[in-house]
Amino acid sequence: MNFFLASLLLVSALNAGAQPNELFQKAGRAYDAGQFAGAAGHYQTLLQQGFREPQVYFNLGNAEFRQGHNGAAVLAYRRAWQLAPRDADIAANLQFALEQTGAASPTPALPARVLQALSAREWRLVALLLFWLLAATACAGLLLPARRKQVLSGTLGVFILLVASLVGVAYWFDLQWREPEAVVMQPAKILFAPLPNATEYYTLPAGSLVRLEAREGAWCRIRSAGRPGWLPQSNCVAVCQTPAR
Amino acid sequence: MLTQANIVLRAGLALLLGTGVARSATPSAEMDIQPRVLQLGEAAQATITVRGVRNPPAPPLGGLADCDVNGPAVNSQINIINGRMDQSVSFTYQLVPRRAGTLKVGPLNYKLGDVLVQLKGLELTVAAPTTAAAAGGQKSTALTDMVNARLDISPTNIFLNQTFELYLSILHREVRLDRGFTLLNWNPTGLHLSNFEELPGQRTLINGQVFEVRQFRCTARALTVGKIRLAPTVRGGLLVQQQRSQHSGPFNDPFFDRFFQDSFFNRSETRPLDFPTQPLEFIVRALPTAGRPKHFNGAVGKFSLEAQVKPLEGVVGDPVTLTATIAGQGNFDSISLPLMSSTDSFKIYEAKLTGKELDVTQSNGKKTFEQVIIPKTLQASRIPALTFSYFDTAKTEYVTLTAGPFELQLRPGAVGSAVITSPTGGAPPPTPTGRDIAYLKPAPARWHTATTTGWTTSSLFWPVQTLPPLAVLVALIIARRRDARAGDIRLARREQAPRSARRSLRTAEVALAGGQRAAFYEALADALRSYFGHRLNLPPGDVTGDVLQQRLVAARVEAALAAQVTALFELCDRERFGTAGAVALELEASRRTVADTTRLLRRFERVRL
Repeated sequence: MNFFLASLLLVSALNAGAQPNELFQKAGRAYDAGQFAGAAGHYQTLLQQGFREPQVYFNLGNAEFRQGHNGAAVLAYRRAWQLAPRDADIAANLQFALEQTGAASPTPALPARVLQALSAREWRLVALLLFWLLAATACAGLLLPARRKQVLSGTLGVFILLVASLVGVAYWFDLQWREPEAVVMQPAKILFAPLPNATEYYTLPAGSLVRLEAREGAWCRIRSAGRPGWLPQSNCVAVCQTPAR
Repeated sequence: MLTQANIVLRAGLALLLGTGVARSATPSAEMDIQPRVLQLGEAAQATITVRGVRNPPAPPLGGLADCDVNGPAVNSQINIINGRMDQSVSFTYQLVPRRAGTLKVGPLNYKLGDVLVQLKGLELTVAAPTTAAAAGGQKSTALTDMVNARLDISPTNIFLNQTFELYLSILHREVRLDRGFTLLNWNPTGLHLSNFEELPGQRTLINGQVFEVRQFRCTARALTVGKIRLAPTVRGGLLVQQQRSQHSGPFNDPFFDRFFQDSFFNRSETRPLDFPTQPLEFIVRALPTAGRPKHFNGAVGKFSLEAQVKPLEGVVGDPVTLTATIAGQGNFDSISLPLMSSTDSFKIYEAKLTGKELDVTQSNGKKTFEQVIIPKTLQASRIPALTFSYFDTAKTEYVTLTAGPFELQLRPGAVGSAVITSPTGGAPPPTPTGRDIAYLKPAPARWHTATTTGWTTSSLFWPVQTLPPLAVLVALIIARRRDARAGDIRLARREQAPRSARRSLRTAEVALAGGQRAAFYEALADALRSYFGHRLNLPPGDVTGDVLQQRLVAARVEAALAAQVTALFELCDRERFGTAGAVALELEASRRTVADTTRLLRRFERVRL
């Protein structure tokens, strides 16, 4: 009886693993056949099922790019980048898509580039490990009086690293939640006020990466290159859509 | 001695003067009159400055019709700038017009030695005195007629992103204004403005009235298309003389009071004065789409392009540098070098901005770019022309500037020198010939979903995270207790008591198992001695039945319990020092004794001694 139950569980687990793989392969075959809309649909299905992997976002970006949906492609590439910021292919495709639309590429300062070396999830994991390590070294320092000095200096080092990793967590929190990064989906006129007949301030090409400052009704206030402005919410999609894993 | 030094100094100065005059050989003269606009009854100053001639004759300014001429006052000046001497002589005349209207001064022919210099003619505008002034200076005019402001732009035909000049002029007459001004309601939406700078003051004639004009200028840039309306209010300070007090002066003496009521001691006060500007409206037009060049990147203004390549001779594989300078006037922040992509013949690196010389308004100056180009083959002998497009606001059309092409004299490189080596050595990296997105990624090795991987959302996550601080807390308590024990012998011995007793009881059990009667009771006695020695902080030798009895009574221990301890002590002493050594150990009785001792000591663990 027990053996039967174990076998049943194993088969269920294998099926659960095969399903996203099958859909992923199917999407790949559709892409190779030039059916980019179909491929994009399969990748979207995977994402709706909760499989938010950088590979899925990347391939979705490719499928959207091939259809000429540059805004959607940039959005997918940027979502992939947020999950895997060190992936060279993602960075290259994002750069290429931005060049095609004429949108400005993000040029982060050196501290931001350092913080982008790890994803939000990686920073959280590092912070958690350092938190445990800090507690362990603190315990060792308290319980080993003969080596307390060396152990406590090590504890201080771990504490500094923990603070650094918390800065990394805070950086991604800022980028994803506090003032989230967003993508302008279609070429947009950025207005001085959230009114249809407001004066145009400047224009942004499709795929432009902006910071989303606030939402008011059907409008959202954005900031691009330090310049604030308003555009309809329907034309601006936040990069981080759900809690990142 | 002093006389000799004086002679040398004079000779040197004369030599210097002689050299300077000899250098500025061409005689020249220029005339200026200030102010050019004045009221009848006022005087203007005409200054004629002569250069390149020693001891020039006075210019022939006398004999002007409708104008009295006084002077000249002569002033010589020597300037030495960068080792070059400049000597000038100024003749200053006072001109007092005799009638209102436009008076012409010059042109004049002025003979300087053998050279005849012609001085340009200048015009003086003389206003007739106002009716009010003529009637005795009764000022019935409203203050707003005497102070006003206006805004002007130049040029007036504005395009999106064009930089232009915005002037603010403050005109006033018959009143004195403070130096500082503030603009109210100044929200120039759709414009980017630099700071205002003040231009030299001037006068102007409006409706027969002479106004003093203070003019300010700033550089503006149109950020949006459409109508722009500017109508700020200027807040200035009107300087008025303080009212003299009615009472007599501080000295109560006519002479001193008059002295202190003199204008030198009369202070003026500033009263705020708001006056509106004449509204300025203009339209910012969008750049035309017709004729827009392919590589137009938003530059608006007037620019020039210069480019050069160095070196023009070299070896295949060696880099050459293309230096391009874009100079002129316009929106320099939008200017970048046109994109040149790598080809089969050239590897072209990204252009870098290497120089930027712009004025404070950021709209005049130049930007210099450098681009490294590597010819890859011997046939790469011509670098294609560089083009830069901008919208010329004066011509209202797009202009494309071209520099090049640039011819290169290339030689085949020596073995190994014609290839672009990679920093890691080995084979050179393949040169890309096209660009596209990277292909699809393979499926992930393991699929995660938000539910399976959301470890932070697990109900156990946060409770588990309390463990590290709890562990630290426990370690802290342990460390503090240990530290306290290290300084408190009584406490340390108290904690040691059960351990030492257990150790002795185990020894007793071993002796019991071996049938060693003496050793058994010795160990049992030792267990009691060590336990109570530690509990009562006594040296082991001082723990006897009597001592123990006294301490237990003093500690108000239950009498039955104390009696049991004493009995045990006596039993041990009897067995150790009595004649029972030869008698065989009764196993059951001895085990009971061990058990009783253990039980007894456990009870004492709960007793405060």
